[in-house]
Amino acid sequence: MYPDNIYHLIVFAILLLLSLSYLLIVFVVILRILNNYTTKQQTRFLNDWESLIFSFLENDESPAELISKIPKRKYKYLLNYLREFLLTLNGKDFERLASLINHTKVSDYIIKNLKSRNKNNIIFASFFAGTTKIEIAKPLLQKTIRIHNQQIFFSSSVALAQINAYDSLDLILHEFIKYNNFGNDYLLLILTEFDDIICDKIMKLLTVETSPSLATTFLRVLRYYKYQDAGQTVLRMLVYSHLKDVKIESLKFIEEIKFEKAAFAVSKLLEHKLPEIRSQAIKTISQLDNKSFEDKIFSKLFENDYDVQYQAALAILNHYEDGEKKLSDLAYSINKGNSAAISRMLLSEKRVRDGK
Amino acid sequence: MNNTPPQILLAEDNEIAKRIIVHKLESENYSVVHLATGENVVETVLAIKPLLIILDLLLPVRNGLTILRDLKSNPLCSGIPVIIFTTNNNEEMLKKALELGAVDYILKPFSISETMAKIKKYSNT
Repeated sequence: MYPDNIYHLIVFAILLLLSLSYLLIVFVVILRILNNYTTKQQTRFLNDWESLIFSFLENDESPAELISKIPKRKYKYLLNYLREFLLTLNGKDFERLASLINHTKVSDYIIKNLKSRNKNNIIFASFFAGTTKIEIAKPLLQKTIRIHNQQIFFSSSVALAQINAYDSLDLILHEFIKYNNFGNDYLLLILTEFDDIICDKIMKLLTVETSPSLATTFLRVLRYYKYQDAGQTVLRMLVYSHLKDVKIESLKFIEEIKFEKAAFAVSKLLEHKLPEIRSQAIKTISQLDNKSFEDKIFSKLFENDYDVQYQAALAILNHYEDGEKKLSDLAYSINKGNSAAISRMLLSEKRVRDGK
Repeated sequence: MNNTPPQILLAEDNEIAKRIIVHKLESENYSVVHLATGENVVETVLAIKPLLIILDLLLPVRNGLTILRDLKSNPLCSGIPVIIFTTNNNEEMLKKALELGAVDYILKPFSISETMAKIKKYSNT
């Protein structure tokens, strides 16, 4: 037999559990009802308005005229509907759809959502502010970016970049470094949403004192835009930076824009102590129009590092005169080392590709 | 006189892209047979013999390249022009598709007028 107070405690616990379960069921039911309601409203919007939007795309109706037919309370459904279309269409069709937002009072609705305290509303509005380039949203985005929330930071930064708010670059970088768990790929995604004018700003920030993670991201942005004017700046980074990743990214940039003036500096790195740098230097120098390093590259076939040997063989085969013959001689010589095996492998792959 | 509208087969799993293309084609008196997966594309082509096939490269169940290879190796349908519909980061697949015999391609995101121009060019209507 339990004492009375234990018995009451058990009954209380059971009642509490039952009540919680009941509340949970009610909560789930309410969520489902809300979700069904939203889906129905969205479907109803689609049925009522899709044909009007299609016809808007095909004729010269003014955006304000079409929007005036849509009640304000339906803007949420309109934007949900347009979101996928904005991601699917480009050119004139995209511009027409964007004009439904940025040339009408729908932009006021976006601004209102950017001022909201609700995280989801801000993220939702940032998407449209950026995609449709609502420039008057810039001051608000510069505020929302400071809210310490990773998702808000990302959506606001992307929006600022999409509206080419170059003067927000420092702010974006300043806020970005506050997030320890944000990888540099996110920064790259943000910076490549700007147009290529951002490269000029980035070049000014790129020095040997720049933090390694920022410097490699900046170099990747410059490479993404194939920004020719950055040749000398990147060459300086290649020569004076002592950081492996910065040197490798600088080499990749030089390779991408085929910056011939860097050939001598790149050739020096064929002797670098790190095999990753030697390997990238071979790739880079073989892409430049300077063929005077062929013997040097050929000698790299006999190194100890596999990747360096592989890149050297690939460079000889693809970029130098009689490369195939040179590799054939090596492949079937008495040399039994890696260089002969790599040569045989590359020649065999080439024959398959050429259909021989 | 044959009043049957010219038939086009659209194999595309993106709902929005499908809605736009179907709407536009139907408004220009084409009849569209739509498939959202790659499962029965070849069988459907053999059954309806469309004027033109618009084929997404990344379809569920069977990818576009496999389908294209089957279409081009079957003498009953190898002559039907195929336009590839794909995102612009599939350069390798696109190159392969053109080698396999696709006549042209449309990159997503796309422009409705350019898409229609290509469809008209290859459906000869």
